[in-house]
Amino acid sequence: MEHTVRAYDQELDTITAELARMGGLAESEVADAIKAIATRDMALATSVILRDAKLDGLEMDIERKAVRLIALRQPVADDLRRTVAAMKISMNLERCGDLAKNIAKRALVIAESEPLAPLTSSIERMGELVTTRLKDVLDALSSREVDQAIAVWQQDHEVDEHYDAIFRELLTYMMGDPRMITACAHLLFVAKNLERIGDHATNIAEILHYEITGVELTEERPKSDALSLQTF
Amino acid sequence: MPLSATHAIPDVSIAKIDASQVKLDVQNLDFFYGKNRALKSVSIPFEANAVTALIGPSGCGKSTLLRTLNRMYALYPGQRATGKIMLDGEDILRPGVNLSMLRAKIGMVFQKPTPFPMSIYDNVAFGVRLYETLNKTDMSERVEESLRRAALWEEVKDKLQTSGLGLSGGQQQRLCVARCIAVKPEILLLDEPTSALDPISSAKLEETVTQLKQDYTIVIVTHNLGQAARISKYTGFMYLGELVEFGQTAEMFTKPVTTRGSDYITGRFG
Repeated sequence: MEHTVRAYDQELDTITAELARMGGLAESEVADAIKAIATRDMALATSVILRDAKLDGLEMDIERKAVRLIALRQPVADDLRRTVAAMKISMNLERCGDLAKNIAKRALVIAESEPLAPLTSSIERMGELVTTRLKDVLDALSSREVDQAIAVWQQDHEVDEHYDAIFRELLTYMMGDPRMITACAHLLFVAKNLERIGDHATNIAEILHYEITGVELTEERPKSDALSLQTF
Repeated sequence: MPLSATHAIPDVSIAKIDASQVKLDVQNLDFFYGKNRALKSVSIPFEANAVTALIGPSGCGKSTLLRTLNRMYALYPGQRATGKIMLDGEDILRPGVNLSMLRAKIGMVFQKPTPFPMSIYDNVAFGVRLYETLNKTDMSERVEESLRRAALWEEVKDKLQTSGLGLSGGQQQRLCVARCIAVKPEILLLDEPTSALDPISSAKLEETVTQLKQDYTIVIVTHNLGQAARISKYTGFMYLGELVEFGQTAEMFTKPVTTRGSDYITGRFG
């Protein structure tokens, strides 16, 4: 149902629309940064670095609009959760953008060193996994599907396992051939950044869950009958 | 509000309160203005030493509910209530209840300040004289204590013998609160007490209510949702004579259970 004051709806919708744009930008930044590593594409890496400013600008804009809305409309209940969630999700997306930008910067360095085919393919696989997580949670954001958000939240350990595997793999290469240390060290950071992006996707899933249900995601899967309310 | 399929949205949701904490318990209350049924089987508990806010659109029955709690309606012909209102285990709706004693126990403050045309001191002492015989010192103490608790003492202590009508609207309203608590009631009913006040006076009255809840069970009807959210522990949302949702205020304003409750507090009604 619409608000009696229609401008209120428009303001909320604008924030939601900007958040969706941020999601799209963050997702493509991350995907392109990984692609730039894998294909040694310096032009693509440069474009990722340049694109990040847009994401930063959108985050500030969402924050300004949300603060203004809180001041003027005093949102409550689902409106309040939606507004606060938009601010928090935009912060997480902005961080994803920063991490993608950092990956792109390292792509520029790695592109100038010897090719590391087996290594970059591991990173690429992890990158695909993380991109999928981010895409899934952003899909959940636009479709407002709680179950999809929970699924992303439950799968975070896979990204962590990937990171551990890459860590061990890179150590092996570095020990085997010291000339690879520079590139491997950069790839280690890339893997760490990807793991962080996975964490941000998980954060977004948690925020989204709270926004939609009003219940925080805790260690166990939340039960809908946890409320001490008698309903009929 | 879009929830996942696993969450069924109830039409009505009334939270339970630990029975030992309940001061005033309304059970299946119906109220009639002649043939017009203004309250429809309302059951709501009011916790002791807590503030409960009643919210809802105009004409939803919240003031009617408040007026039944001290049987104010009994002053008007053709108005009647059925059901039970248990005060400390005793039904105050049953015949034979001493209404004068009841209203000394359950004080009420109205939307518009209603000071009597007499001095500030006498305004506060007036009710006390109806129920108790105090000597001059005790009475002065009672007046001071009441004015202090209503957060008005500092502003009027030097002009207690001037007319209560000379005070500002906000001061008059706090004078009414002082008059109300001077007779040492157990329950305070506040019917939109700040709707005619400026923001500073409203804030002072809110502060007063917050202080008073330590000793009183307070029921406040308000159209100011922010006020309900700030000062109450429990909130009841009423619509068309029905109690639709009742629960902890913090829950109500972050995740209301019913669609009607949610639509009302978020400003989507009608």
